[in-house]
Formats: sequence, C-alpha cells, structure tokens
Amino acid sequence: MHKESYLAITIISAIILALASYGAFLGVEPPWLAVVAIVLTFPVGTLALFLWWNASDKEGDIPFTGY
Amino acid sequence: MIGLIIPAVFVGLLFHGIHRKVIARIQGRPGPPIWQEILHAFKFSFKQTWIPKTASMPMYVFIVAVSIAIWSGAFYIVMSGGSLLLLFAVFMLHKITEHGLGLSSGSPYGKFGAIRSVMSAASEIPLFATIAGIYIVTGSLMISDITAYQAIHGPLLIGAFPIALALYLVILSKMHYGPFSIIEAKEIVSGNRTEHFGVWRAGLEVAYALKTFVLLAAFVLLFVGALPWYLMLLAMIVVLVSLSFVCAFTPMLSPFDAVALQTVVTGGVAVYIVAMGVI
Repeated sequence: MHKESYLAITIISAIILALASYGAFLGVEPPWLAVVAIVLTFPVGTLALFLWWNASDKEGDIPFTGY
Repeated sequence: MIGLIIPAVFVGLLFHGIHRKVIARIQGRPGPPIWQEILHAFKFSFKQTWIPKTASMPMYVFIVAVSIAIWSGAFYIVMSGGSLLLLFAVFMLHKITEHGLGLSSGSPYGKFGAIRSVMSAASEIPLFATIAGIYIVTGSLMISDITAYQAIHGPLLIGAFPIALALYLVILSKMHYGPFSIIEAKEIVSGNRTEHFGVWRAGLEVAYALKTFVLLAAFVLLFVGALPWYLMLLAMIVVLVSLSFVCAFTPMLSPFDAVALQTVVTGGVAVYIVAMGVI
C-alpha cells in the first residue's frame, strides 16, 4: 500500500478511537461498545501509524530474501 | 478511555526497561537505561519492514494485531473490575497467538518457539488453581468484588498466600529472561518472534508492554486490593523487581523441567484448596 493509504487508515482509526472514548465519557453510548471499538481499532491504528512513518516515498534497495 | 491505554503502553515498556536494568545490576553489568525498551519499540517501528517469502502473509500480519487487541481487552477487564474468567480467556488466546506467531513465519526457529509454546501450556495450569482458590475464598470471580472483599478482610496476599504464589508463577512464566522463557530462548534465536521484525516487532512490543502492565495490575488488585494510582504503580514496581530478582538468579529451565515445576506448584495449590475447602 502507499504511504497515503497508511496515513488515511491511521487518521480514520484515531477518529474512531476519539469518538468511542468521548461517547463513553458523555454517556451517549454504553461502555462495552466503546471497549469493543477500542479493542478492534487500536491495533489497526497502531500498526498503520508505524507503517505510515516507516513507508518511504522513494525507491529503496531490494532486500536480500534468501536463496 | 483511549487516554488510559496509551500511557499503559509506555508504562509497560518502562517496566520492561526496569526489568532489564535490575537483572543487569544483579549480574554486575551496567545494563541499558530504563527507557531503552521505549526506544526499542520506536526503533523497530522505523526499521525496513516486509513480509518473508516463507510466511503465511495474512496470519503473519494478523497475529500481531490480535496480540495487541487481546491485551487491550484485558486492560479494560482489569481496570473496570471485570471477570477473572475473561482474563483467563485472554490468557488462552495469548497462548494461541504465541503459537501462531511462531508458525506464521515459516522459520524453523519460529516453529521451535511455537512448539515450545504448546509444551509450556502447563504455565496456565496454576491460573486454574488461582481462579478456583480465589472463588472459594471470596465467593466471586469479579475483580471488583475481590477488591471489595479485601477492603473488609485484608489482603489475600496474607490470607491466601499459596494462591498468590500460583499467580506469581504464571506472571513469572510470561516475563522476559525468566526461568520459563523457553519459547524465546537464545538457542532458537528469538524463538517464535524470530522472523517478526520492523513494524511487526514494534507492534509486538506494544502488545507485550500491555501484557506486563495488565498482569502486574491484576496481581496487585487480586492480592493487595484497590489502591490509589501512585501506590498501585509502586506496588506493581515492587512485584516487578521481585520477578527481576528471580529471573536474574535462576537459569533458564529445560522445557521438561519448566512443565514439571509448574505442574508441581499447581498440585500444591490444589492440595491447599482441597484442605481449605474441607476445613
């Protein structure tokens, strides 16, 4: 995937995490729903964030992948 | 809610750093700075990342996300005073992720780690004893009820010491560089984590930081009781340092000895529970 795609997933995940947390804080959603949303979104957001800042814009070396 | 889990990841990584520092000082080495594991996680996240040719791609990636997800769930179970049975379920899922982690890469070292993970399933047996013992003593499996029980009757660490010992052994079996860390022993490189590098390893660092935080918090809540957050952190560090001492002084056991020792402890706790029930 492209760097922009990882950034988009990171931003969408962050928005879901923020909404889930804020919704539970305001009491407009049951706490279990916020926990489910966080459990499903936090890993995706974390890995997408890492992959986003890891991804390069330019061509890199071809890594040695074994014989 | 997300405002709690992110600090927990950093505190968990800091705990890993303290663990390494204490082990190093006991062994007469200067050791890394205590924030080293935080830097490690960031370092891995910037490393070049790809998926090995021999790997089962969906499983190789998915297992990292699942590891983070289950310990995120466990974090909320413990912090909200949820059921011990759910925490036990997370432990079972963690065992599956350990196994899947090793198998997904296609590396022989990873597979050895995965096989050892299955063999060391005995490390979960003391958890059975802990859950049964706590239920017999307190009459509930909800962490909130157990902390309320301790507020009236005093810490279970004193009242039911053998049960605390069983959970201590479970946590010890999940610590890095411990006597039961056979799945990541150096003779099999890094065991089941061998082929997870770069971003995938950074993701695992996040998951394992949460795991350490959750296990230490669960131990303090179950056997000391509910404390203000600063005393809670202090108690967690005390438990952690004691675990580091054990890890520093104890050589890694062979896989068969690890299983035998864990089974013997479980048997001892079972005898204690039966005796307690009879009395």
